[in-house]
Amino acid sequence: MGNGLITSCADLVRQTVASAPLLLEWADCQQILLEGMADTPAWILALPVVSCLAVGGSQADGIQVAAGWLALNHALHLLDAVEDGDFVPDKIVDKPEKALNLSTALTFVAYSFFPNLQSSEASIRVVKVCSECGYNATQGQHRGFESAPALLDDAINAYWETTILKSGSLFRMACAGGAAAGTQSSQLIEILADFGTSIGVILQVLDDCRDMFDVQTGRREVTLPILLYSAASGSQKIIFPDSRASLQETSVPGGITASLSAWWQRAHDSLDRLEPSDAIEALKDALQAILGTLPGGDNQ
Amino acid sequence: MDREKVNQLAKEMTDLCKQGVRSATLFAGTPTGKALFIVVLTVLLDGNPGDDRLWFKPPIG
Repeated sequence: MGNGLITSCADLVRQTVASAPLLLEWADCQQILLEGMADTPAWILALPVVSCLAVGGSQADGIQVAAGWLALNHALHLLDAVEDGDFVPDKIVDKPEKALNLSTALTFVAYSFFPNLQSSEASIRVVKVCSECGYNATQGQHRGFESAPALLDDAINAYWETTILKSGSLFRMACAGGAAAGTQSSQLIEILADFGTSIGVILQVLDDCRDMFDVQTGRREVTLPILLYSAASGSQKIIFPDSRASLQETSVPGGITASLSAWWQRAHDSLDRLEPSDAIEALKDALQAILGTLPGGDNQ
Repeated sequence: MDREKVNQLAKEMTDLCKQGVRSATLFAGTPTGKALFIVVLTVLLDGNPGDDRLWFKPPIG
């Protein structure tokens, strides 16, 4: 039931972006966003729409929020690649200057969707949510450029603060933005906001596990696996394992799973505070999709 | 999310992580905990396996 709703919402979001008047004027800008969306799972495309439906809002309003949120996300993705030195030229974006300019363009494109909501009050609420969450995300990114604190406990705490701000805020924006389009209840918006934060943090932690070592550059990131490896080794400072394989025999996977389980439970607890509906089921399916779309996930 | 809530959540997660590296029983026994453990282990050991299109990479990260 939930998966059908996700699929149909995702299709409508794709159609809305593909036919957006502003994007029709600039083929490169439209293409880069549509290509980014093609690589994004349906449950993520649909997240703002289903969040809007979950609080009694309309599909049409949720779709506008989703289109705007995806444009913002892609704008940040382009920026991040340049900031992190990961920029890879392609047919459309062959130099970092173009990536920065397209990022700026997509930010303006995002805000062109929000006035299309059926009520101006809802539009204002959505803009407020997206501005606050976007600001927090960039602040988290800014903190991520700082060196990790020397003491391990401080470094673990700083990791969580940065991750909640940086990635939690992006998915908070999706779910709270969708909810803000559908209700003026700050309580309901906050419930969906907390759900989104949990999703964003879970995805970031898993991404940090994946990117722990960059084989191509040899770069090693000080993220959760490294911090927990240091803690498991009894060190008060940050130390690096020799290889990924050496983590298997440590308690690092258990420590990461414990924290992910806590975020998972927070996400479920948020949804349990809402009236049961098809949209709530779809949000639960979205949470399960994190397992289903990852290697080793089994949709339990 | 206000800063006080961010700080409180970060502290809770820091404490939980430190407990987690001492005891795997924090998550054991639930189907979701087991499924998450398999995902974590796979990603930690393999890095970036399989079809990259299956992954959603957070925009900032």
